Amino acid sequence: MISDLTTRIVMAAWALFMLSWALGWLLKGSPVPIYRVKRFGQDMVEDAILGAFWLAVGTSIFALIKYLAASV
Amino acid sequence: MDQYLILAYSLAILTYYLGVLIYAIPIPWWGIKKWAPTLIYDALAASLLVLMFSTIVELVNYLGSLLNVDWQAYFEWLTSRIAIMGSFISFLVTLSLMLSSAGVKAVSTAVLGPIISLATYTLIVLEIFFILGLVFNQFFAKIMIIGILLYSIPFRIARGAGAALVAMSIVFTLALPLLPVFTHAFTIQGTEERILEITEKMGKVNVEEWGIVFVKGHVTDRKGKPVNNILTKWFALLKQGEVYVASYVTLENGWFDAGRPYGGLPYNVMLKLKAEYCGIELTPEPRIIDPHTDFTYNPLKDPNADYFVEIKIKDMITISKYFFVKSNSNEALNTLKITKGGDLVNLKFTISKPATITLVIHKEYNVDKVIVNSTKTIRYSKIKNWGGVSFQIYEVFLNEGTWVLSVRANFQRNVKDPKITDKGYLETISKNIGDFEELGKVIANAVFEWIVLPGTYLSILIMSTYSLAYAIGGRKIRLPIKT
Repeated sequence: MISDLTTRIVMAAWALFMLSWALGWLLKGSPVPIYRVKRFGQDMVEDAILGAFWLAVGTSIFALIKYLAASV
Repeated sequence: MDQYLILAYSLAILTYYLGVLIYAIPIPWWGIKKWAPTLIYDALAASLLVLMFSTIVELVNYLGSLLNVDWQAYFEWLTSRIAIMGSFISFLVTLSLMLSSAGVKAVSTAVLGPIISLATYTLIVLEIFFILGLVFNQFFAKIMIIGILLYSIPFRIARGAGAALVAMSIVFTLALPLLPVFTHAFTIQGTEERILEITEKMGKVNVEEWGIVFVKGHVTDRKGKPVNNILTKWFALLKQGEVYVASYVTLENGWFDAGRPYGGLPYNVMLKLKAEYCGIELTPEPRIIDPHTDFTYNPLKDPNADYFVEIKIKDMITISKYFFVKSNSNEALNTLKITKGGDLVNLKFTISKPATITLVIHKEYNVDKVIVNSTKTIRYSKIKNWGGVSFQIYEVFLNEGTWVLSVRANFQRNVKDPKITDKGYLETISKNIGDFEELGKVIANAVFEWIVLPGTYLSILIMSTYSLAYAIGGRKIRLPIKT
């Protein structure tokens, strides 16, 4: 049950990462002249990239652990 | 068991991805975003703990062998002390029952009551440690796994509790068996030796086995005349010898009081009786007494005694107060004729076999010689001091024939009574345990060694648990001390 939930969360994370990244660049590129908006867009992009990074790292490490545990 | 570990690991992974999800959410609310790095960190810590589980177990076992941890020794230490405490309590309860049946209930409740309570608390504490030992000895790994499981629940819901459980299992499994060593380091004289000493002392006069009855006895001389101020000494006849039990002294009417509340005599054991009068040992009859047959049961005669006994001193005849004649020869005593005239007393014996006659006379009668057949003068052979009073002993050896012994003195005058005190059966017991002071010392020692010291050790262990739990990741526990 938990692994099902985990898989769903991973897929949601990837999807949300895409969404925030796109939203962030949208805000950055919008013609709204308020600095706040641009700043907000920048933050969203950064968070999205960080999230994707941790997601990738985590997945790799867990896969590595699984491989090591299996070969032991 | 393993399934819980797998569950904990899955929860850790879940937590990780939840953290990542929150990172990726476009909602810029800091309240939620702050959880992201937290969750990631927690997940890594939890998965580390899961993977380290068997390593930690091995480490604990290794440390245990380094510190010479021996669970067997721990349990044996506890069981032997529990046994000692148990027998001590039943011994105290018996003693208390004995005393209250004699009517000294005030002493037994006031003094023995708290002592018995303390002894019971000590017993309970020892049992609690025994159970603690059983729990940690058998369930060490299980407790740790449950702790890890709680630790890995996301959002730090049960992280503190989990860390505490893990720490507790490690600390207690390692340190609890070292309790005997800890206790031993702080004791001077072992409590168990003291308890053994006291039960030994008490075991000599075994009131529970011997029973107790309240008796009044009548002591008379050969002719049936009551003897005043004679000391009866009672001994219990056991296989291993005789044990002194009590002494009772008769009053003017020849009755001694072994009744309530301080008297009493054993009932279920054979008794030996010795009689002493004016410093001379006499032969009472009966000499060996069986309380079941020789004591007459009459509960209505006297409120303080249920049994009565008649004792006859066959080898003695009283002539006047503190003036008597003793002889081993029945013939001599049977043929004795006493004639009194003024201040002269004549004792006439007719014997067909040689016999020894002993006259015992109070010193204050100022008799210094005895005249035999109006010809020979005999002086006293020795003086006996008894109860602060001196008695002259005249020993006369007579061949067969008729003899008249004359003694001149004023036997009407008042002479000083020797001071002889009773020593009751129950008094013997109380004296045996030194007025309860000794008992108090023993129980104080027991409470210190078996409640205070283990309690201190337990609090040391608990504090170590908190510190270790904090290191693993629990909440910092605030001590209930105001700063």
